[in-house]
Order: sequence, then C-alpha cells, then structure tokens
Amino acid sequence: MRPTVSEQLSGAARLLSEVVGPEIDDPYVGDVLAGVVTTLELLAEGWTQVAAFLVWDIEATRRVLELVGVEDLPAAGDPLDVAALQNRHTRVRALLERAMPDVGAHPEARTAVAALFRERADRYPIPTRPWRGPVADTTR
Amino acid sequence: MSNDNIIRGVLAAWISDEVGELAVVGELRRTSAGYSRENWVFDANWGGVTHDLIVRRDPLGSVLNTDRRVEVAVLEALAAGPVPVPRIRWTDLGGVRLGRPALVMDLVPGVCDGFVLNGPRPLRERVALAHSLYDHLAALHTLDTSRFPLPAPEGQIALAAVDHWERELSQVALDPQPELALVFAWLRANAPAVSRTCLVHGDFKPGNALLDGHGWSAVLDWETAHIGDPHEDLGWVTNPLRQREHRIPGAWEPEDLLERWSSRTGWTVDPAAVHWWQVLANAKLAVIVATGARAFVEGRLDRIHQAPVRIHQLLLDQIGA
Repeated sequence: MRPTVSEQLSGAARLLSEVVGPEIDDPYVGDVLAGVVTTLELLAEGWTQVAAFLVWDIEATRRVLELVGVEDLPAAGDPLDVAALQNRHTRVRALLERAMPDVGAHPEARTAVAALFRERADRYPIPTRPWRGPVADTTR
Repeated sequence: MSNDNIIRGVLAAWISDEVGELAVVGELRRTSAGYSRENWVFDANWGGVTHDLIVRRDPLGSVLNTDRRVEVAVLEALAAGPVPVPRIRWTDLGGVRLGRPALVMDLVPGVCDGFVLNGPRPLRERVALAHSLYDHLAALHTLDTSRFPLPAPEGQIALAAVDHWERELSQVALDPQPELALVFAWLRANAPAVSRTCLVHGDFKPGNALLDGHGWSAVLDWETAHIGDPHEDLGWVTNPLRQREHRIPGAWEPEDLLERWSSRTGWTVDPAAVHWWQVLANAKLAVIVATGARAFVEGRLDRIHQAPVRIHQLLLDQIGA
C-alpha cells in the first residue's frame, strides 16, 4: 500500500510547510499551520503503534485492577478493530480512575499503578515534543 | 466581508461611541500570542491623533476558563503602580460589541518573548532582566490586598486550589485521567498551611511580559490573578517543566530566584510549600491541556493538544510515586 499512511501524513506535512506556509503572512495563521504540521509529523511517526499500545495498556491496567478486586473487566479483544479497542480502553481507564482510592490504600497495587503509569508514558505512541511556545511577537 | 473587516467596523463604532466623535480604525491584525484570549492590535484615529491599541476578546474555546472581570479589576487597581500594566481604555464585559466579553487597552511598546532569558542576549543582560522581572513579582506580592476588589479566599487555600482544579478536570476531560487522580490524592494528603496571603498573578512568566529594549514595559495577562498564597507563584516560576522560560543555567537558578524574592519581600520561603505548589502547577497544566484538547475536538480552538504524558512523568517523580 504505497504511499503508506505514514508517507501520506508526512507528505501532507511537507506540502503545508513548504508550499502553503511561505504564502502565509498572518502570524496567527502561520502559528496555527505550524501546529498542524507538527501534529501530522507526530501522527506519521506514531500511528502504527496505536493499536499495540491500546492492547498493552488495557491488559496492564486490568492486572492492576485485579489486585484491588475489580471484576468484570473488558478484555482487549480484536487488536485489529481499533474503534472497539478505543472503547474498551476508555472503559478500563475509567474503572482505574474510580478505583484509585482503593489502589492508593493497597501497597502492592500502589506500586503496580506507579509502574504502569511510568511504562505507559514511555510507550505512548504519539511522541510529544517540548512545548516551545509562540514565537516572539513584536506587535503584541 | 472578512472577519477582520467586521472586527474593524465594530471597533470603529465602539470607539466612536466612547469618544463622542467619528473614529477610524486603520491597520488591524490578530496576534499569535495569547493562548487564552483572542487579541487584535490596531490603530484608531480620532481627534486628529492616531492611537495604538489592542483589543482582547474571550475566545469560543480556550486552554483556560477565566473571568474577564478579574483582569479588569486587577488592571484598574494596578494603574497607579508599582508593577507596569497596560492602561484599559474601555470594557464590554457583557459582550455587546464583539459578541463576547472584550476590552480595549493601550498597546504597550515591546516584544513578547517567552524564552528571552535563554536567548542570544549577553549573559549579564539576561541576568539583569531576570532580576528586574522577578522583582516585579516580589513587588506585587507585597501590595496591600485591600487594593484589589477580589474575593478573599475561604477555608484552606491549598485544598481549595485542589478542589478547583479537580472540578475543572471533571468538566473538561475527554477521557479518564487516573494519573491525575493519584496526583490529586497526594496533593490533598500533603497540603501546606498558609502563613500569609497576597495578590497572586497565577501565570507569571517572561512570556506574559513585554520587553522594550532593555527593560520590562508591562506585565500582562492578569485574568488568573487572585488572592492566595505567594508560594503559588513561587512554585509556578520554579517549576522544572518550565525551566527554559524561567532559569538561566548556572546564573539564575531557582534558589537564586527564591533568595532574591525573600530579600525583596522580607518573607521566608517554605521549600516544602514551594514543592507542593510546583506539583499543583503541573496538575494545573495537565488540566489546561485537557481543556485545550476538548476545545479543539469541539471545534472551538485552533490548536491541537496531545495527551500530556511528559507532565504525567514529571508529576510521578515529584510525588515520589
């Protein structure tokens, strides 16, 4: 499948940056465009890992919840159905959010949830870049 | 008719009503600065004189839900000094003119550069800029709070801040945030007592000030100002996440800032309270990101916000999880 999804996303970012960008004089519009280009580049880099991340996060979160006795947990299910994965991911994260008082009071679960949060931040598929803020604005 | 022309026409009518004669609005353009307000700089002519002005309007969507009345009240109270602020010309808090609350101010000369302390200027000059900027922070903290028509904080200030940001999160989050639930629990368990109250800016940084040549011409963005604990601002400006904005490595470190603030105010810094407010600052930033994400998804904001995983990582370190 060529161009691949990644190639199309990064190519669209290039077109916006190299073709559209130079034609823009308005600094606000230019700033918005820069944000769009950055997002397309980040998606091009990370979208292939989204499904794998959701599966991992659902299963890792389930294991923490089991430590504090939460039952009837949704399993990851079909890893190729990303929309369904997204829904199950939201459900299991909501269960964890509600269970946090119990997790905090359970030493093993407290350690496990901190490890989970750290690992999921490392595995998060859409890379983030340090926010650099708006460029200096001489007319503000 | 373009949006800018509509704004231009409305401003001309507004100013004409205010000054009692025909005003003509000339050049107008929206600025890229300002993540919680829509800003247009423009010039207007009446009485044979051209005036450089800025209009700030509440946006449809923002990264921060704030009250325009607070900004107006603080700016009016600070008009007599000692911290330089823009002069308010006219306010429309009901949103009659531009559809949403707006205010017109004099355009203060200067550059808004959030990273000037780590920019190309010579080190000695950057350190001097840091001194004078954070001296403004100390100066506003020592002002008599009775000058400001702002509500006095009720109850325990630190816990009230946790309540506020937790409530904000519950209103804006697009998806569950168990990481922040853990952080808010830590904040509740470790909330510091408050020894004094003062005017807190709430978002003090080089990017919220104007630099005119070698000096600061104005401190901006007062919409988050409130009466609170001075350690809140100290935690905000020493937050490791924002070090590129506030620190000059080896020359202006957080301890330098706190020592200078202490000598200027005559007050002692409580390091544990500073740390607690740093954690609160990052929880607040995570909520701000969530606010921006919702506004983007709902088509009310032109900027895209990713999940704040870097902030989560830092928060885990800060609370020792």
